[in-house]
Amino acid sequence: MEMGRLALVVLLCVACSKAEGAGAGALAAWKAAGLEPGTFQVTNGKPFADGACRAGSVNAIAVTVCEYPDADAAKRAEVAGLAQLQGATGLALAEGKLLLVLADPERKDPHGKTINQIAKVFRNR
Amino acid sequence: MRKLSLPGVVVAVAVLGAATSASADRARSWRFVGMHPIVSEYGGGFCYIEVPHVHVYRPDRPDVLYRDDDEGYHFVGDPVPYGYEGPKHAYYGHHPVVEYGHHDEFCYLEGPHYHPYDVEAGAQFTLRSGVHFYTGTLPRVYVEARPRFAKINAVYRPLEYSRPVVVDSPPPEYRGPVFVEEPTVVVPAHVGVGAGVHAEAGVGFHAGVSIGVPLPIVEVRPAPVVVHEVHPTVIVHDRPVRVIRVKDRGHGHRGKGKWKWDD
Repeated sequence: MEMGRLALVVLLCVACSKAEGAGAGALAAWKAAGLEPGTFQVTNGKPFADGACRAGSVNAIAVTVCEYPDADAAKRAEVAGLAQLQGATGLALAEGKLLLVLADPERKDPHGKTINQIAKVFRNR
Repeated sequence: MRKLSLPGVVVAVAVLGAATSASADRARSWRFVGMHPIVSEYGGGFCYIEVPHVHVYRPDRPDVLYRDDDEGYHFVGDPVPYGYEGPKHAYYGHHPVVEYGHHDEFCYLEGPHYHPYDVEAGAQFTLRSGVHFYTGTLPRVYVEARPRFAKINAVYRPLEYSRPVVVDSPPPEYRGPVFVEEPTVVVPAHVGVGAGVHAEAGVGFHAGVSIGVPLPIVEVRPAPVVVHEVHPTVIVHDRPVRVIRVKDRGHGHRGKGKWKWDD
């Protein structure tokens, strides 16, 4: 029983650590590019094909960054990411082991210039 | 129990079908593979997202303004009339669509126009005064798709925007169509055949022909003319008139001749 609890704690810690890693590099890159990322929190990765995910916002655009064991898994998770947009303008973009999901349900970026900048910085980070 | 008439049933089904379709459209997303015009129902203008993304609206005129594949809709038109502000490159006439790696897709826009992308390194284009002319071969796939995709010109023709200025005629290797706007041709009465072509500059050209005095009545077809349409001015570079056929309609006839091109 104790061993089971311990294993669960270890798994959760690994997940937390991955989620932190998922956002860290991208956050730094967005800041360096002059964008304004808010606070990113760990979020449920189940809907994103079991990724280790963190969600927040960058310049009022809803952003989720997930990490996967390998690039193929991240690429496969694009479909799951798109499904989470639920009718909003947005994208799901895999780059390496990371998946970026952007959503703009309120059309705060009607011409997509901010979304484009967030995505390009993520891709070139 | 009240019976529904057949027309009533048809209308009800149609309304239900339309409502279902509209609802389905709202629920679904449309995938775009790069920048594209925004449909007017959603504010118009231009979407600058360069990576694959989705919107809740379907593209306008996907039959000619886009090429669609598994990735989504690729906009292949000139973005400028939709408010695009960004790097752009001038092209003249038909050419391969080099963006997105679609080497077997062609742009069928006539005359001078813009694209956001530059030509690929090593591609067969000739650059003249800042305008790219495609000088490579036009394959069968181009010819076969032309009847369908050349309809894009019907979309662009009425759009008023600043097209690229073309100051040089196409290079000899250029095999695409030369965009010819028919200038007003005035044939002075006593002037010999082939002389005195006058092209009026302005936005749009007159297709009509005016004749001063009837003798002789000639039918002329200007050699390919490169038209440089830029608002508010239009620059026309004309070439010598080539006489196609001479008709004698008799002495004393006045008025406008009937002009037919000799096909």
